[in-house]
Amino acid sequence: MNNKTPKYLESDESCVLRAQKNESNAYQVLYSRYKHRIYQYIWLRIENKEDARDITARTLNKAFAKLNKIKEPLHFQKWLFKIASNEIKMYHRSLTTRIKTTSVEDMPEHELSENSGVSAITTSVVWTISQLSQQEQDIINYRLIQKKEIDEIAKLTGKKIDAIKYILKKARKNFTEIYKNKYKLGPEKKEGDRNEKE
Amino acid sequence: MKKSKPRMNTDKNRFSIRKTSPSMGEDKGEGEKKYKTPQPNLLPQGAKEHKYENPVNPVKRIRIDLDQIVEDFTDKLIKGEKIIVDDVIKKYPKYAEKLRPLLESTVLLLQAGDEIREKTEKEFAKFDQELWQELETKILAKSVKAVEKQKAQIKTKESVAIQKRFEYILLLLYVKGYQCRIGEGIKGITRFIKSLFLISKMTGLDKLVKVYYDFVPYKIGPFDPAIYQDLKVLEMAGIIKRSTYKYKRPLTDDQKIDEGFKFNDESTLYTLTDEGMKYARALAKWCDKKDRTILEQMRRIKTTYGSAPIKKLLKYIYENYPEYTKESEVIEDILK
Repeated sequence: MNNKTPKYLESDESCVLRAQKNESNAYQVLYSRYKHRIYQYIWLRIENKEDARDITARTLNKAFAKLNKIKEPLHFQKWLFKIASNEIKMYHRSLTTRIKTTSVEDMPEHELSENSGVSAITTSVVWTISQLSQQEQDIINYRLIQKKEIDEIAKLTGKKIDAIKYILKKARKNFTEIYKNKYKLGPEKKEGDRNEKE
Repeated sequence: MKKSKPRMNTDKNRFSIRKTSPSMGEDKGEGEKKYKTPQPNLLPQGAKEHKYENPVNPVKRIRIDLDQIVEDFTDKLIKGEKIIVDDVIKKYPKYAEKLRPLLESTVLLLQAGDEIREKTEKEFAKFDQELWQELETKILAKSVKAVEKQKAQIKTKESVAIQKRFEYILLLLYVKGYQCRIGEGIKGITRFIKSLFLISKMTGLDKLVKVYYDFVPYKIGPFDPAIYQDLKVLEMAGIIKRSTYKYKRPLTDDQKIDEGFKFNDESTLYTLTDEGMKYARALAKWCDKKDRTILEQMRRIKTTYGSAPIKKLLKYIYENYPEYTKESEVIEDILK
């Protein structure tokens, strides 16, 4: 890196290479860059939001400890989210071995909302997202929650742009169907609108 | 002869409109001519035109790609454009039934996304610092091991060659300074950083190691955060000591500028511990053997700049190395 490139504009690849030389500042750059995204990614996928902190800590600990083993520093982001995804899977697996408690689906919605600390609508959206397949959840999260471009998602997931478009289309359709069946979709219709239709 | 049927589009989200299609009894030649007449492009935004060639019954179809319409709508919302579902529905009234729920769920998801982002960022802020400290301790532990390994050489050797960049920190603290005393401390991280910068620029001694500090223009001039890390690692390894003290008197200009003071509200003094002195002495012996001027050049930097008022030190750097002032927040104050 030359003197003209400030470190805050450094690429992931360069940060990983520096981190592999044990420069804690490189770790700090990576941490600042991904901390919110990883936390949000995990938060969306687990029912008990209080556990999100621990899973985030475990993910980052594991990632930083194994940074020397990363084969393609260019794909650090993909690699990091894979670790997060595995941690979530492990968390869910450990949950099933515990004594069965009330499942989220059976939980009254006001309790869900209190647990996550967001509005009822957002809670219903989060619940609907959780009903989609893992792949669809990921794509919906990247595109509509994290507001990423399609080509960026393609790079992140290692899939082709057309494949992302197809999964997104399916995810939207499934989300709409599930949401429509469980909740009411769209603004309340005014009388004028009804007359127009009639 | 069996007539081939026009292709059917089975995808439910795609609708086909038959634009021109000559009837069976019509003169085919005329029909083809009519078909070839250039038509103005009347397609709405988001609609894709697809031409299906059929020698028996040429048919031109317009395929409305609803997914593309939803994607365009999503893009506009993400970019912050003011667009509502009804605006899109008005453009494609025929597809309102299919389009509306898709657009509405997009709005819902984006709104929920905003709330989730805000919520998670707030929540994360509560344990952000704690988590980073936990991670940093583990990261630094590796560096501490490396420093200890390097330090272990002094048990068997009298002189130790400079191999790592953090050893410049030790030498800088070891050589005599303004008070003509070996092991004289350096006050303030800014003086430390700028002295290490001047070592590379004025003496060229940085070439003794493979990787020296990589200075970039920052808020108070040349800066490399790795110096902070090395100081922390050396402190953890028991090689240097960092003492802090708070000023009761009104703030001087120097304290206001000092990077460490701005960060902690504290003035800092860096000195070598006994272990650090032994290590630095071994490094100094090697320097003496290699080239007598090495320590002399370092001493000159420490005497002149290691205890100079920060304003004066920065003025010298800003005037002589203007390429490092690009990001400076204090340049006007310093150069006035």
